[in-house]
Amino acid sequence: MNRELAAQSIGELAPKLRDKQVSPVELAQAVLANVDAYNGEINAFIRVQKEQALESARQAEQEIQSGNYRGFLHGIPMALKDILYFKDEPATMGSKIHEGFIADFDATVVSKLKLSGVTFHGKLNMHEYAWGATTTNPHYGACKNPWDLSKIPGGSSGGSGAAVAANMTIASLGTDTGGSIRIPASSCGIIGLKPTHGRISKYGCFPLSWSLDHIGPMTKTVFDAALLLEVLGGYDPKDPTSVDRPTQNYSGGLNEDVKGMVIGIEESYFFKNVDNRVNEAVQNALQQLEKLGARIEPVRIPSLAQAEFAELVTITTEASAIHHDNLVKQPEKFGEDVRFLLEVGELMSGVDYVQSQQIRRKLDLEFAAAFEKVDVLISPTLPFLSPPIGDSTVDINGQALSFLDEVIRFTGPGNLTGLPALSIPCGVRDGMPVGLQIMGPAFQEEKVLNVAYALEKLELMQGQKADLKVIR
Amino acid sequence: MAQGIHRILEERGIQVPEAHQEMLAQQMQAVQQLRNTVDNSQLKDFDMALTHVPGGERP
Repeated sequence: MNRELAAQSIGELAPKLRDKQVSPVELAQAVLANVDAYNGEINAFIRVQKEQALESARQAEQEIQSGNYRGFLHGIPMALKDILYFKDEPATMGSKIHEGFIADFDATVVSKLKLSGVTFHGKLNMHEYAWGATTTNPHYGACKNPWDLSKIPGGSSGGSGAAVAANMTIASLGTDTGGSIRIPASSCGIIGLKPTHGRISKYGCFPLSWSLDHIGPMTKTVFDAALLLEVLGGYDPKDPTSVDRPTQNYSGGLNEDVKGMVIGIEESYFFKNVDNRVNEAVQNALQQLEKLGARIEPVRIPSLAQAEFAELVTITTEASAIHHDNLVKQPEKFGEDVRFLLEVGELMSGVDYVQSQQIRRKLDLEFAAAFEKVDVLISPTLPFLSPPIGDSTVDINGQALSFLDEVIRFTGPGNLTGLPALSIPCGVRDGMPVGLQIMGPAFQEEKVLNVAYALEKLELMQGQKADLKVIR
Repeated sequence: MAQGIHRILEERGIQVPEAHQEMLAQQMQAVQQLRNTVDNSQLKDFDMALTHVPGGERP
């Protein structure tokens, strides 16, 4: 069996599947062989569905053989975060409380992937109820970073990040409320795209914080992220936050030409208190974009100074409202960290919440004004490199700072404003990948994707990937 | 502060582990510091909508 197949992207595999050079069964077997080889150490899966995947792959093979090729995703193996509902299948949300929960309908994103002919081979580990960014799950075990097994993969979609980076799935989906797609994407050296709020339906996704939650692709390449966005995007009347705006042929429209493009940097917020190793990698990427003809323009978004307050209050309050009954009736079933954060959310005042929503309105306007002057904003995704599993602090230039305080500092504004944001790897420092964040105007994901595509073409990673040979 | 927090949560029917009491007090002190970054006079003109529309109404 050719396990190398599992290292390829959707963009590489789809034409081979279409032209019958690769069979969906052979591909599913290659991915499952990697799961057998690596998941014992990495623990990216809550559940592996081998038989179901092979059966689905056989069906895809039959369809393709008989001339019924459905498109780019037909026969592509995917595993998704265990917070998305599949009809008649368990969805744990990474929790003990929902251990026996069986969904009675498909999430809209799941329906769309099923229609596209994806073969599903398992459910991925995550931070309990997506309420945290380490994926050190007390019920299903800690998920480890394929780049260094002693480090966290980030979270909450840590299983998705780790599984993509270790070639245990071709692509995945994550959910993002304060950075939970972009943080693991940055930590695991892959692409993570949080689209505009309302672009991808959240119907059938267990909520963490209604007004901040997003679903988006986690992939090996920018093309794959663009492709998944065009498949998954679009209005869904079942999701009250879904927005009826036209989607595009994002993958077909990818353009690496950034000549004349204006790239904004907000130095007083997004480049303040950043670890030098991270800063160096991001600055190098900016210089490379300048060499390609982009112009770097400083911008000011004053209300970012209040973003941490607004993010903390909104996420803790909404999450505690969702979990209030269980916090009262069965608090011992939550992991310690999640229980603590749910207690914090109970202590916020109504005034705190309303002021936070006012800050969001102000941020919306200030970001919109900034995007009158620049095409995209670039920043580090995280101000630090992935810390060891179990550490509650991160190292920023020799200072040990609180992980909780630092982790969503740069990603949170994307959730508060709902603006599209993507993390792309831009280098490796001390053996760990560094992520660069690109934010764009509302519903203009194509701008974000084009800048990411230009960066990908620069090959800033110089071919470096997680060394899977050291994992047994 | 820790005792006050404990009482508020208990009144809401929430049992707080002893280990959390001091941590919660510290966390709420941190929230207070963040709260101090908010200048309410700057927010008065911002209507708080119940639904959040990215890229919505412009000035």
